[in-house]
Amino acid sequence: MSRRSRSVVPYLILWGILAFLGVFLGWPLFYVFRGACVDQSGFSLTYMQALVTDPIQLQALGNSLMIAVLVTLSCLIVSLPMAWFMARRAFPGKAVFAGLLLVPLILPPFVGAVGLKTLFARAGSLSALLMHLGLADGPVDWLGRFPMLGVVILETMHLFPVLYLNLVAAFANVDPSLEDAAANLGASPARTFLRVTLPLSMPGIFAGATLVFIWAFTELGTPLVFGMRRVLPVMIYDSVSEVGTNPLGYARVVLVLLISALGFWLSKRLTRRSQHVATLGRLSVTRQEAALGGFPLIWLYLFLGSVLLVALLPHISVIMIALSRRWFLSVLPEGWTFEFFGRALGSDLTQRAMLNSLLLALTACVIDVVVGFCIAWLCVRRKLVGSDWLDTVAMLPIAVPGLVIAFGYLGCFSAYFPGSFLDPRTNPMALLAVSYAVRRLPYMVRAAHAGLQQTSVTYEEAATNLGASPLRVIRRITLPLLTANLLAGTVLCFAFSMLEVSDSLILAQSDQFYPITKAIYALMEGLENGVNVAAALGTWAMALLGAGMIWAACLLGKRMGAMFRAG
Amino acid sequence: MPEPAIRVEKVTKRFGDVTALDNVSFSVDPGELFFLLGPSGCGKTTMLRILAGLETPDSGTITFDGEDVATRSPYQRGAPMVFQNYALWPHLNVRDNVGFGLVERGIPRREIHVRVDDILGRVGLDGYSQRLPGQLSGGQQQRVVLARALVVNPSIVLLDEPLSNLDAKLRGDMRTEIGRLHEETDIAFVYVTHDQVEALSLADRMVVIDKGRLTGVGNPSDLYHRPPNRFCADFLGRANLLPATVSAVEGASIRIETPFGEWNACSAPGLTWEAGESVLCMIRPESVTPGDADGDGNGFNARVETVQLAGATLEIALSDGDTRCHATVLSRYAAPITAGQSCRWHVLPENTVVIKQSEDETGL
Repeated sequence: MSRRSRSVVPYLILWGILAFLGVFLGWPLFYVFRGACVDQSGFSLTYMQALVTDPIQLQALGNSLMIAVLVTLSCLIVSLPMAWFMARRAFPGKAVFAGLLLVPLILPPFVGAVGLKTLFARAGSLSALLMHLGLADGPVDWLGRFPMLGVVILETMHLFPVLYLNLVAAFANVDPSLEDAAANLGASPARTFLRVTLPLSMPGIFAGATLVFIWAFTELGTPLVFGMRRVLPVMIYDSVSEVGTNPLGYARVVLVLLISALGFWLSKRLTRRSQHVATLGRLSVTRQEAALGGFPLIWLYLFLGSVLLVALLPHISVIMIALSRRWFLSVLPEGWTFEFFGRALGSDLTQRAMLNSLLLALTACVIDVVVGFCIAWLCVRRKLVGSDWLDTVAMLPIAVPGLVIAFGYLGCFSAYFPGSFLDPRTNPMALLAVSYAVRRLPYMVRAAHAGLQQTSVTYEEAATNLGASPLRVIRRITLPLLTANLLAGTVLCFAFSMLEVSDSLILAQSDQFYPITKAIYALMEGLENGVNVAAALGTWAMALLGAGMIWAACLLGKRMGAMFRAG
Repeated sequence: MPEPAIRVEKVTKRFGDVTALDNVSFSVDPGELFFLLGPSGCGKTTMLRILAGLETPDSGTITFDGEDVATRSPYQRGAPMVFQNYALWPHLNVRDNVGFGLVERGIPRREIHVRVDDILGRVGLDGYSQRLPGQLSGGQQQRVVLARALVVNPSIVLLDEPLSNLDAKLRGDMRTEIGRLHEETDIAFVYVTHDQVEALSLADRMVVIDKGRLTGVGNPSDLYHRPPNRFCADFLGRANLLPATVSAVEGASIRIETPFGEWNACSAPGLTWEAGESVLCMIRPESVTPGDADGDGNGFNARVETVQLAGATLEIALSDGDTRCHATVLSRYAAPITAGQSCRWHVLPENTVVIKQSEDETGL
């Protein structure tokens, strides 16, 4: 009898989770596909076709792809040398740099865009500086001329840490004895890198590059702030108002999804062969990191320093805007004040936004801890029929852009549950929380997965053997042993939910439900130092996220980087 | 006759194509120190995990004290296990590790405290209750695991290669310690090991397992000196195996033809022999003695090929034409035995054991 209940409960959990993911991940995706391909006359590809034939739509697609490709390439250029030095060389201050390199992640790039605009716009610092030096006759709107350049620079500076973390891991996983063997057979260090290290690291490089590509391809906030209307994500955002009536919006979402999926499929396929080689298993030799000194070290410092300076420029400018009384056609602000920090916390809009974000992020965390732990437990400990499947499905949100999920929610839940708590037009809170949770679920699953795999199953067997029922084993042994992993996953989930952009911009329609990011966006449009208040709110959020990341890093130690890794 | 503490009947377990246990039956008496001995991969750990309920047999029954335990979940078996890798929970200190099973049994807090202190004293860990497992040495961890199993007053304790993670010196000490702890209680210990010295020195009774099948059951002395088959002969120690033919059978005494001549021999009980049957003659090296026997020893002439000093003993290789044989004799300074000499040797009939040539006829 007890034997039966032992095998039924896990299946109940399995089916419960599959149902949850089916409703909040599968169904919206299906709905979006149907909206794009089915109209009154039945199945039709007219709208999909329009996207790749109509010049305006084509231009949007081209712009988006261009941004994604350029961002990916420039991230690679920045990250490759950086990752190699961090993985292979020892030098003073390495730990400090390793920490600082994560800082760019703590600011949504569209907030940084506000800061950058102030530096490079017509009335910004650069124009002022050039005029001051007599190099320009009048103010130049640098970003107005090259908006795409601005978008690419900002997103590169935001996303290169993601690629960098993947690369460091990939390099670190190459068995040192393989490189020793190449050197032993006469390959110079450069040749060894090209012929051994790089090919063996390809899976990691591709995985990281795909993440960056999709992230850049679907980034909504940055082009919006730079006034680039003709990119796919912004056009999707603009079609939110006509979600029920115009199938073109769905078609755009499907296009984004297809290209993201294609990117993932390609990177998996291209690296399939080398995957076997790269995962040799346990390293047979411990790597000796060669110490770096002299001129190479100075060059490395210069390189790291300048990348960090550029990458942190948005953060710095946002903080300066928040502190500045007046900043117009001058290199630096003309007066300083703390007023906006107070206003960022004081107004109705911002207070409500913070409460909303807090509530949403907490709810998302609770959902993720429960669902994420259950998934990992089923996959690692029970190995049920279908649990591999579950693992794949739970990782899907990495490949499904937030934009797609939000748009799908908006479409299907307002059509099927009009006026109820699941209708985002009436009250988006429930769906916002769920969308945050679904989007961050992969991090939690990965954290719990890693924890369970590192924890020997005999700990649980020993508890069972001494009389603890399955539930008691989880409560007294499994959960306490996983605390660090689950807490780290929670902190990350919380931090990123607080700053989720695309879901928030699309789903939160009326200001009483605005989360922080949407409030920042709304404030920027506002009059009366709106930009300063927005920047101040952004600074508060940055501080919060930074603290969260530091906390998570303390809990996870070196495994922190694994959170942002693909595959 | 009391009900056995454990009765295993016709248990079979397969993992895919591999048969881990093939129709295994044995029983363990209350309070017995019972060994499952076999090479790695023979299925002995699987047997132990089946007893603990951590694996389910494909067929066969298991009873504890006469009660079928098939329907009892692993957490209702009441047979605490000493895990090979200890499985001490790293987030709990020694006191909480040891008290874990008592908490699950709903024992009042005060009583748990007293019983944990008592058992820690018995395993020699007074004053260690606040330590975390990571702060203990291997031998201390081993003691905590033993305490954790014994503290719940079980009637059965399962031990899975408990000494395999310790160095040689500690292994000897802990072996004695486990024997002492068993003496002090009336708990049946089921002890799994691949180390025949551990089994021979501690066991009340033991089974030998090879490729999932039982090949020998009995007390250590019988199994060592009168092995029922070639596997037991080889696995329990060093063995000389000579081809032989049965020439006559008179009750327990068997007359055999060996390359060294016509000998008197004995065998494990329960086996039947026929005149003319081809068999193997098993002699332990330490039974091969220099000189002629006083009474009816089986004497033979052989040349000393090599002599190796192994400390307490001399390892001697003998040959007579194509027939080879090893002898182990106590070493003395200025030993009279040197390589190259031919001399007289003998084996007593009670140490000359006839075993079947075919592995399938185990007499079980």
